[in-house]
Amino acid sequence: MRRAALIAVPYVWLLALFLIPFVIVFKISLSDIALAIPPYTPTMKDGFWTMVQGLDFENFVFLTEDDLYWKAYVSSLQIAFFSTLLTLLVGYPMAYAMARAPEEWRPTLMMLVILPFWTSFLIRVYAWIGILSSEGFLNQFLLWLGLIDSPLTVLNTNTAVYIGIVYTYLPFMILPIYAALDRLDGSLIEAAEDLGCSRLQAFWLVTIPLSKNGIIAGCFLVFIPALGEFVIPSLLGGSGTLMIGKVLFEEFFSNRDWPVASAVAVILLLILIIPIILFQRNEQRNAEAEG
Amino acid sequence: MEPRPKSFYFLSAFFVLFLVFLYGPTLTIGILSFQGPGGGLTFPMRGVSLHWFRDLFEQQAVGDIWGSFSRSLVLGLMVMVTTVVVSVMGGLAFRKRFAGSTVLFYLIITSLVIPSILISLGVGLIWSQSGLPVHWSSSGFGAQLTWTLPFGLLIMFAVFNRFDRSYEEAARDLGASPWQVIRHVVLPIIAPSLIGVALFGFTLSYDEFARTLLTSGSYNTLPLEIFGMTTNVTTPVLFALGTLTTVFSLLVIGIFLLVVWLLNHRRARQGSDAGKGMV
Repeated sequence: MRRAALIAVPYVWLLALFLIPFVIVFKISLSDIALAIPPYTPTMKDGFWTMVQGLDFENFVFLTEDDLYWKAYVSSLQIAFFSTLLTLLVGYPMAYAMARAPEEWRPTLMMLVILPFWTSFLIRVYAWIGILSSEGFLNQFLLWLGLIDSPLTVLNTNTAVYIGIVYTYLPFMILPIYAALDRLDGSLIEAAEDLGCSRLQAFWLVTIPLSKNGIIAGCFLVFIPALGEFVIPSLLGGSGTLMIGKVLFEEFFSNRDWPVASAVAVILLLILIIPIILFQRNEQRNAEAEG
Repeated sequence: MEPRPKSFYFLSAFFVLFLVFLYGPTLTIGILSFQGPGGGLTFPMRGVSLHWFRDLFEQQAVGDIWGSFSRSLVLGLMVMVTTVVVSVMGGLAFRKRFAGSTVLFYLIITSLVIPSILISLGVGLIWSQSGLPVHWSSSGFGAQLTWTLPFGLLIMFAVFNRFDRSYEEAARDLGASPWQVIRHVVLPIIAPSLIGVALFGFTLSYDEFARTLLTSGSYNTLPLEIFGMTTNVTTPVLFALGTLTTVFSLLVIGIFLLVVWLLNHRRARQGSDAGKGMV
């Protein structure tokens, strides 16, 4: 009996704050915009059946008609994909270096990776404006070195968004890969080398496959939130940066078109379900492998 | 000592470069917050001053940051306590498989990885739909829990996975009631992890932006206030605020670490304090 109560608490919380909101979001995505509070129609007040009859897929049809939306989805997917790849390329060597470091350094290195998190995320992203702008630190440094003659335009481009995402999500990539590499048995590499592998071959044939789970977990932890990212594109991106998180925000706040905002959200969720299922499968396989 | 392989120097160089990337913005914030009164948002420094820190304490220069700071602090503490309590309960419940435990586990993971803006929209709508006022301490609190609870629960699952149940059995054999087992055996053993969960809960809540965005109503939390400032404040006052809040976060971590240290210290001196309260 008491056990049932214990289990019920997380369940109720998830139902109340996670599943029901989505049912409501879905319902509103089928409604029409109205000049009222709340700004859509029909509502529960009109009676259940009248409400159900008033629902249709108009907003979803609208999303396919205006090419702004699918362009935003495609460009979000693209930005999320390439920034995940970049994060992996930067994060893997970092995690590898941490796992190879002498035992007594590792907690310090770990602390170094996590420490920047204690500064407000928004202000850290904002600081990139001071670094990347045309009179910013980066340009002044490159001009001083004589590498460039005129300042580079980085701020308000997609490059700045990539830098921002890689910077923000790096720890999410490093920590799972580090966890996988830390458990790796060094004698396996020795064995591979004894059996005639070069160092590079041993790395490619032994280390990479054994850290596969860490790589997969890290990639999902970066890709999925990056897809819905809102802060980074709105602070660092330019008018040409289309990301679905930004579109969602503008529909909700600037246009106050809640039905369309909800439709945008429902489609984003559908896009995300595939990687989330893959992620869960991977987690489950890990759990089974560990017994 | 054998010579270090070439890869050591290569990796070290890479790590240093990486630290520059990771700490560049933090250092920029730290240095530029001491910008002279005439200076701007970028280098060079035009003198060194505390001008922008003083500005933080003048209402007209920065708006309601102290109000939003205290709201964030209270909200962080509320989220922290709830996360710790529910995580422990969830962790205890999860030690045995039960109908739907896999579904619940998946829900936890999903809630963790879904873009925050979706949660924010959903929770915001549930409140406005049911006619409740959207407020940081109700809908904002709920939305933040969808972020901190999965973290807390996953940590507790890992902790209870490694938990040696023979301690509990021993306590039961010695006549402890279920509540006494939890109070005097389980909780003292998992105390350090609980402090970790508490720290996580507090800092995740304190810095949360997207999930609070559509759920906080008319009173802003600190990150929302800062976001407002990023669009209309163009002076280093923002960096001064960054420095100040970082110092505050470090103080909080310092306090937590001190508590952990004291707990360990007490335990080392007294042996395990499990069961001490029963005398």
